Amino acid sequence: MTVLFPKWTNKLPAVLALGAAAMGLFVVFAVSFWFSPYHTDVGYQPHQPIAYSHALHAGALGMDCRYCHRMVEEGPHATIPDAETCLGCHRHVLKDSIALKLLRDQAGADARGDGPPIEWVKVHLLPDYAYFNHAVHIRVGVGCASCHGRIDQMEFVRQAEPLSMGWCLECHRNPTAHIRPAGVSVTQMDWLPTEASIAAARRQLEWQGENPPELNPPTHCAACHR
Amino acid sequence: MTIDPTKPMSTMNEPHNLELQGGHSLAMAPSAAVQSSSEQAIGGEPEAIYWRSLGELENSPEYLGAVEREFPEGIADAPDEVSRRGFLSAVAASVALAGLAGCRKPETHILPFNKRPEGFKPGLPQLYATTLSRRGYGIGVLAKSSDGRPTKIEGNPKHPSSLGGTDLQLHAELLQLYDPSRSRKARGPKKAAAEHEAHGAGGGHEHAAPVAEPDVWTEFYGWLDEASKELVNIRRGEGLHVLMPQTSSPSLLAAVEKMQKGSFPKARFHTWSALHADNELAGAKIAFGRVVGTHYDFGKADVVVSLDSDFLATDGNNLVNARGWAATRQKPVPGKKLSRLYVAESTYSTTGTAADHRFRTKSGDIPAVTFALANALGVGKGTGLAQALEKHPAAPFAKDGKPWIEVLARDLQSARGRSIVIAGPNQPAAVHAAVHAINQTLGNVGQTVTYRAVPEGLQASAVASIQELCTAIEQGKCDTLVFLGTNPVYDAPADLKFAELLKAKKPKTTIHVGAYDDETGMLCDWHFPEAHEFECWGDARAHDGTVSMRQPLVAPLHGGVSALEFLGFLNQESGWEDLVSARSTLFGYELVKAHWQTASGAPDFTTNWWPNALRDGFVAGSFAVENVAIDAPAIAEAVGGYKRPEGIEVVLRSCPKMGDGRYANNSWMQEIPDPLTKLSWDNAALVSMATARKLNVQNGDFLTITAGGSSLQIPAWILPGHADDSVTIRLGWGRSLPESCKVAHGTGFNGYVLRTTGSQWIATGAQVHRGQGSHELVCTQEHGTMAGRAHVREATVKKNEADPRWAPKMSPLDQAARLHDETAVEASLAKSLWVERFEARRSDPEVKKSPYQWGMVIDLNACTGCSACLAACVAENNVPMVGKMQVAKNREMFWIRADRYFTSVADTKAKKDVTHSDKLEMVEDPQVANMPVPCMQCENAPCESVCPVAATTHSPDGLNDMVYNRCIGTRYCSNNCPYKVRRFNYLDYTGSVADTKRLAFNPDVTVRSRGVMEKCTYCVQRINGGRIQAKLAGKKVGDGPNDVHVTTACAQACPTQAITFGNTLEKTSAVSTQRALDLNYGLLSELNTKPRTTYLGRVRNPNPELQPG
Repeated sequence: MTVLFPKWTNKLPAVLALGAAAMGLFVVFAVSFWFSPYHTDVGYQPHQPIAYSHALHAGALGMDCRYCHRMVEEGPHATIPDAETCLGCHRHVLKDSIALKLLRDQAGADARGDGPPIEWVKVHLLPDYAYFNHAVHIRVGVGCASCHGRIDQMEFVRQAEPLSMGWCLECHRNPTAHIRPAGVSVTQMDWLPTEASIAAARRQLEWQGENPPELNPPTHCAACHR
Repeated sequence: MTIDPTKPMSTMNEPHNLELQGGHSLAMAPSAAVQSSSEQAIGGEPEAIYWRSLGELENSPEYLGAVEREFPEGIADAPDEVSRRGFLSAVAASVALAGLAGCRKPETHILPFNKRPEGFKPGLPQLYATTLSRRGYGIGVLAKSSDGRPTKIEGNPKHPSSLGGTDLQLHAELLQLYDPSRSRKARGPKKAAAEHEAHGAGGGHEHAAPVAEPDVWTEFYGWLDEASKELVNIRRGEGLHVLMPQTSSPSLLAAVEKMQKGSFPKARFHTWSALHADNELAGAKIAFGRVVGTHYDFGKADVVVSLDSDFLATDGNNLVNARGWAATRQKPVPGKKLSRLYVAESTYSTTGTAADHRFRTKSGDIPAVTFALANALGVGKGTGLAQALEKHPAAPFAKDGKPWIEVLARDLQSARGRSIVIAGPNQPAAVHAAVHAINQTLGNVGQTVTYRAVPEGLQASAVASIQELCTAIEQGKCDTLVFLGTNPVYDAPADLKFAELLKAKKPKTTIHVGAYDDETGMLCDWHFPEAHEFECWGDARAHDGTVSMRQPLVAPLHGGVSALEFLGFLNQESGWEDLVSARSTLFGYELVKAHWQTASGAPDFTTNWWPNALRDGFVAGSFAVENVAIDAPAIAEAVGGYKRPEGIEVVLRSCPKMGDGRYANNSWMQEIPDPLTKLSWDNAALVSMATARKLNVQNGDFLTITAGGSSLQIPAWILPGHADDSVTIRLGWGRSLPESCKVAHGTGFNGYVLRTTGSQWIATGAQVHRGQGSHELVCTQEHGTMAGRAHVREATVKKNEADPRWAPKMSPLDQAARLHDETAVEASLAKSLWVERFEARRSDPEVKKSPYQWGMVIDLNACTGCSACLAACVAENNVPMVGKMQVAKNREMFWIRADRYFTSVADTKAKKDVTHSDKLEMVEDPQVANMPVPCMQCENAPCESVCPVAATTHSPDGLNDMVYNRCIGTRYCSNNCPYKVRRFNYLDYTGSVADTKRLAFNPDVTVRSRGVMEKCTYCVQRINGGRIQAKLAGKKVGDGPNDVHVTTACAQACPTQAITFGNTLEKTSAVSTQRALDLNYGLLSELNTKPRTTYLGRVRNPNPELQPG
């Protein structure tokens, strides 16, 4: 009988199956890493209209985060400072610098404050159906650096953590390493958890006699998805 | 008509339901509604979306094919240093098309303030006290402002006309502010014709900036300048006629007075409101010789007789009345004295549903009833009045063979000084006068009934005033006519033929200031957009005379001007030139403040009086109670003038949804079903079954009604319980607004055509016969059957006393009943394989840690079925309106619905005992039971276990969470829900919502797109907000004075406080005390769903003398 297929085709099904499996495995890996927020969001560092350097202001000059991001202890959003906050210093410091031209434009001629606002690009983007509240996290003792990384070392703000739901739940399910004890400011960027702080946080997670736990991070859906 | 999902929208939707499609252009592709929002917004449309004024496509070259982000996070601070009322703009996004970076999320921008106003907290809503007007009076409300724009209206708990409650129309006012069809630009005479052809509404399609067209205002300024030379200097205002709504506003009335005493002494000011109180005023005049207002304290009344008065929902001081009445009925534990309500009315009203005894009577016969009742009570004994009343016997009025007037009289006599007899505004003056005499005879005056002054601007007869105006126009005496927010072409009495008059005897100059370029505006030379009450400063008086302040929440969106500002402009008050150039609210602010600076007489005005007045929303101090004396001969004369009418009558009534017609373009008001008929998007001529049979019509068949010289084609609707030979038409429908008012287009039928100056409310001797064809009417509750199950549980007082636990026992398998019995619970638990998460004996550690377990109790004794809770829920939770065609397919999206059941004696009989006459009686004269149904938040929720993607889970604090982003739309959950409270977004109802309407959305709640399920969440955004607030302050959420208060939107809105929400773990909380009552039962609890929302059974208080059988 005529040989229809060359000998090497005998191995073909096995090779194809193995290849498909490997491909499948690779696709799964590729998607789960490269399409996950760990890859797509971490490192997002958009260009800002004014090259504001946190490393200078928050790092070298030692300004507290809350000086500018004033609503962080009160409300859901930390809020970007208004032009007046910047002008408090920059009306005098580097008042003619070309880098601050947009700021002076916003202040307007005669400092009437009617110029166009600076269009800061938002770095930490959460989807619209996820509602996050800064104030309650600050209250509980979660530091700025836990979610935003070492902003005080960044020339340009980049997203340091994926801020995905899974990442949030990691802490919500086990927050002890991220809770600062009383006396440690949430804006202290170089704080690291200690045995004592972890133990203290663990105590806060427990029922205190009659009262429910002080530290009770919600893990049910409606806490964030409303 | 079945739906084919593969077909484009145009086959499924009629063009007039462009609620779905939004925008201004009818030519928009019908499939637009199903496109995703990103495709939607891209170019092609000439009009810019209103709130994207920053980062406009035109201004910023780097925005290439802008993709609009639907709901930016709201940190868009406007560069407006003026105030919180500066309008916030949206955040625009761009797609960075540089290389593969296009795979990134689109760039979002944050635009900070130049200088953040003090006290402004981005992200945290603030409440401002202001006043909304209702028929001239002011009702105090708290408006919630989210990032500088109002998003919710609540009642002001301290205000004497609200007491914290609201009704349908108050909530609707929010959407009125954001109506995209509102007039956006002023219009002058030269361009009138061209404008209309191009734009229709007088609302331009161009980019509408917050500054009004300076051209028209400047033009008007020029005209006024010129005209004043003659009008003011020479004629001293003669020929100037102003038609204003009836108002109690002290500053507005002072402005009018100032004009009359100053530059315009010969000008004439007329007042007209379609829903006026002329008959009540005339009745008081007859009875007391002068005009006084009647005030009722329903909380003190044991017996109430309503003669065609819907005092619980639409008439008079309804919110306060409802609260007072509910206090005498709520939580009726055995031993509590309950009041008794008798209602005699022609149509079924909300008050009728609350009645213990209801007597359906033609409106034209109510005077006979009143006089017979007065006679039976011995009113005016020994005077001519008694003789006049004797002519009206009680015998003709009988129900089930019992003459009920005498029974009522006896009951009233037994409650002397603790009763109320009240007549409706539709009834003629003689009835009101007689009722005053009745209350006097019963000793109610000074107890449950008091008299106070009527605010100045509301004392005159509206009909007489507009007749004066028409006479002036007819005689050519009017050369400058100003309409300040009135629309007589639509709602003036038809026999005045206002439109024809205006066209035939057109005054030299006609000026219209109105929210829409409406029926009247279209016939006027000049048109100016009117500022909404949220956009201007002002004041009003509450029903009891308390001064109520109005402050704006936003600067005028479309450059509107308030009536006060316009008069100030005419009168050239200081600062008037600014009105031309800058459309801020400063002018109105100065006018109001200046008025009160003098009127208050307070030495500490700037430091104390004014800031306090604005903070509270009102100034304490009502009109004093006045003493009055009955003028018996005058009443006798009025009584003598009554002749019982023959033939079929047509009764015109105000509509709880439309008001006088102002809410016609309001999709919330159109879609929320009418409380009694449950009709949506239409009105109808309501008739009884017998009358329908006589006229040979079915539901939807057209009737031709001729009365007062005009004729109307209107479809019929059979309303069980309606009086025979009587037709009711609710006013405010069938408007002729311009094409751009898509919501109003083609909805309802105009009852005003039948209204004459002689018969404003009741047209007797009308001709009614079947017309041609029929009209599709959409009713959300065609069926009222409970299929033998005990949904609404009712009992009489006697049964309640005999067996306090009658409610849980009504369903023999009821778990609730068994839960009171511990041993049964143990036994059932031992057998059950089902893990009851909230059962203490099988505790879930998560559940144990939670300090809150939310619950809700709805007291059916207090619920009147007014549907304010529906409106509040819609406003709070961004519930979309779906349009008439979708409602017809049962796709309305209300998270809470107000079920209305017709019930009758036959319902309680065994099937074999029900006779034919029983069945007829069921349709002809039933009782009504109201039941609001939100999500039950079941502990054993049937919906949770069937979701394939776990999009609905249970929270440790008892809520059934709905996670929109997980939902894939299998709808298995709604299939499994026995209460059918889950609503599915079959279509994209929100993707193409019009520009300004998006501003009404609550930013704290996700706006749902197509394909996801949604349902009541117990306002989880409020719960979360409250818990966060409590955590920040070191407090807890609860009812106590030092706790953070959290309540749901429906509970907060309810005028009778029928809904109570709270923490069931807290034994002293309001909700826990109500749950512990014997009356407490769960809906369908025999299914073991363990609903967290429970009800208190309704206890009716019938008069034993009138009991059937």
